Amino acid sequence: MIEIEQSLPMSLETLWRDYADQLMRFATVLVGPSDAADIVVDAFMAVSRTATDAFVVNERAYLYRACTNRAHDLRRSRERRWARDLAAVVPSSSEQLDPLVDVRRAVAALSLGQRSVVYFVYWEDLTERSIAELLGVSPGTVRRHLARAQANLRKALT
Amino acid sequence: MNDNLQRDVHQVLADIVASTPSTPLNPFVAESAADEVSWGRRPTVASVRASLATDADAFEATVRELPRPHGRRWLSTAAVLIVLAAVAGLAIVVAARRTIDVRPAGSMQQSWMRLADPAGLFIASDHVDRVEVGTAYSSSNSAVRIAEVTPFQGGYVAVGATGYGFRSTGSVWTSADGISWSADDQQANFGVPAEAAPRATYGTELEHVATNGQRLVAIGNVYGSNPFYTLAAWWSDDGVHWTKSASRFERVQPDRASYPNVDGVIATSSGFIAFGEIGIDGSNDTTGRMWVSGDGTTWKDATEGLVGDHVRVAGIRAVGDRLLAFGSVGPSDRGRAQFWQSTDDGASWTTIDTPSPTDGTHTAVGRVLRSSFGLVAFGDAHEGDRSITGNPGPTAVLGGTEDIVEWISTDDGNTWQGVDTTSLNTADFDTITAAASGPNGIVLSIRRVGSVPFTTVVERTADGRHFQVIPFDAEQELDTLTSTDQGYLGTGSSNPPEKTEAADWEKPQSTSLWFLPA
Repeated sequence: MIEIEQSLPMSLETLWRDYADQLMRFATVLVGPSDAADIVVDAFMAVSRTATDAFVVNERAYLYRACTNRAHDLRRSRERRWARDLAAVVPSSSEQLDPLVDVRRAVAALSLGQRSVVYFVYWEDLTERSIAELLGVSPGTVRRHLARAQANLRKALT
Repeated sequence: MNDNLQRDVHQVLADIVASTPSTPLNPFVAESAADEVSWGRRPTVASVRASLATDADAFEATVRELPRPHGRRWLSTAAVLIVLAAVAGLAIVVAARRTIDVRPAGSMQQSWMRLADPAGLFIASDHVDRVEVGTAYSSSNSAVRIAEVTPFQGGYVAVGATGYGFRSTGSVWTSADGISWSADDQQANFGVPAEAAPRATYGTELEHVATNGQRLVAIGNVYGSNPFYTLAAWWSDDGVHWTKSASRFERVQPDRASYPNVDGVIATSSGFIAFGEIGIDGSNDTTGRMWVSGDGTTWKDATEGLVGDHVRVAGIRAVGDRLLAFGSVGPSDRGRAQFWQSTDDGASWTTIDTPSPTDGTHTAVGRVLRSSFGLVAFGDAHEGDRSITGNPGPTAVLGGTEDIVEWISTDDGNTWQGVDTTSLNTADFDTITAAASGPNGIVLSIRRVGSVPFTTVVERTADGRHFQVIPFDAEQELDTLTSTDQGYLGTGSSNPPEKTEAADWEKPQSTSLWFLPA
């Protein structure tokens, strides 16, 4: 269980130590390697600005949402670049034509919400409930994101 | 093929995760500036500079993103302008609303028309949340979504939400004709419930609505602190003034992987029945659950009649003096279609023989409609591996195929016969997203996947066996279909006009209204 009964005055230093690495992975999947650090630092800045006013019971979820929200803020101006960055992530050892190019493009073309859910379901193996808490949405919304992500990913098969 | 996709998606995620840059040095490391930057305090440039003294680039990057007072003031100004523009728009709209022209079309030349939304009721604003700069939740994640529509006292009531997820506000729209809609101001009950959100951080979504003719019942999600999410019900006798039920639907069990979820609610001769699912102890799977209410004010568990785990009720329909339930039995990815009936208003249920494909396909009944040629049930059939990881998450579907299946009953649901739906299944994945039975037969909205990213096809049938395509905007999607005296009312999801190439199918999202004249 990741819920906490009441808000805790936790230091940003501790939060960074506990969560920065996993948030960096999440942010990289969201926006690609170039902007990941900016997104994560922004998320912590957002936490520092609002923690005393917000009824925060789950700082991990708070940080994940802050990352997602920051990515949405920047989406308009940077989405194309993120899609290019994500599609271009290919192991450097590969010297042949990338056989996964279509799948990479399909993953890169997902919306932020869809890519978040795909990451949590298929990489982190999180339950629907945990994903709903982290993203601050209902299980139904998680299912909708996943269904649409899957619909979009299937095109890689065709 | 499925194994390949599973492996490929994993590999792509693995490659992306492997490309994660090194985590920057901890900019909040405690030294002299520790107190200043602790949780709950706004960091200053000085404190961040102190902690980043050895990393000049990171410092510059961090300082660049510190809050900008001018930017915030600009946003506030923008918010005022937006409000003024909205008020002005509304004034214009009041006159314009009566000018909507819906011309009946010939029955053989049916075509959809998109209804105007002059009041801007269903248009997502990409700026609403930005006004609230200063919270970590501020974002552009706005959306307007109609979840369900029901006829009520000669008019129509639609329920849904404005906003997104736990920042949303439950919303109700009313209409006398299904064409001109209004949103009333009496919806404070759907906003932030004080007992759940003392800091006004959390919101509400309405998902389902039903009426017995006199009373409306709505069921939705209330976001709180602990538990994060609960189910709640409201009732109303006019569609405008709503009262929240004091009953707690389902206690959130901390050891269960799934939240309780309500999939629908119906009116019966003795009250209301809500149906949905809850997590199974010690398992990542879910099982069906029912709740009953006499008048919508209080609810209690009524699951006893449904025996066994892995029972999934997709819907219930009153048929004569009994209830017909439908769904599936079996684990989420290996279920088998099933009908049940109850003659005591849901207190107990018995199964009805349900024909299913014998080729190992996994089936489920999704909806039942009454038509001039009997009861018609539509569902889906899955073939192949539905999960790419076997993880405990939601029903993971990446592989296999998905087809529409159909049953018809001419004796009020006592016996069912399978129907050939070959003509409906033209892509790898065909799913019905909405359906209604009305003056011109049954209208189905079908999502077809196989092209990029999906297309919507609307089909009509007058006998349940032959289908005719009705032209519709293939890039739109219908979420609900409701029959009216004059035709069919559809509500759909639409993305904002500024949608970029890398499509964002969810946010911000508006609702579009459609009408298919009889």
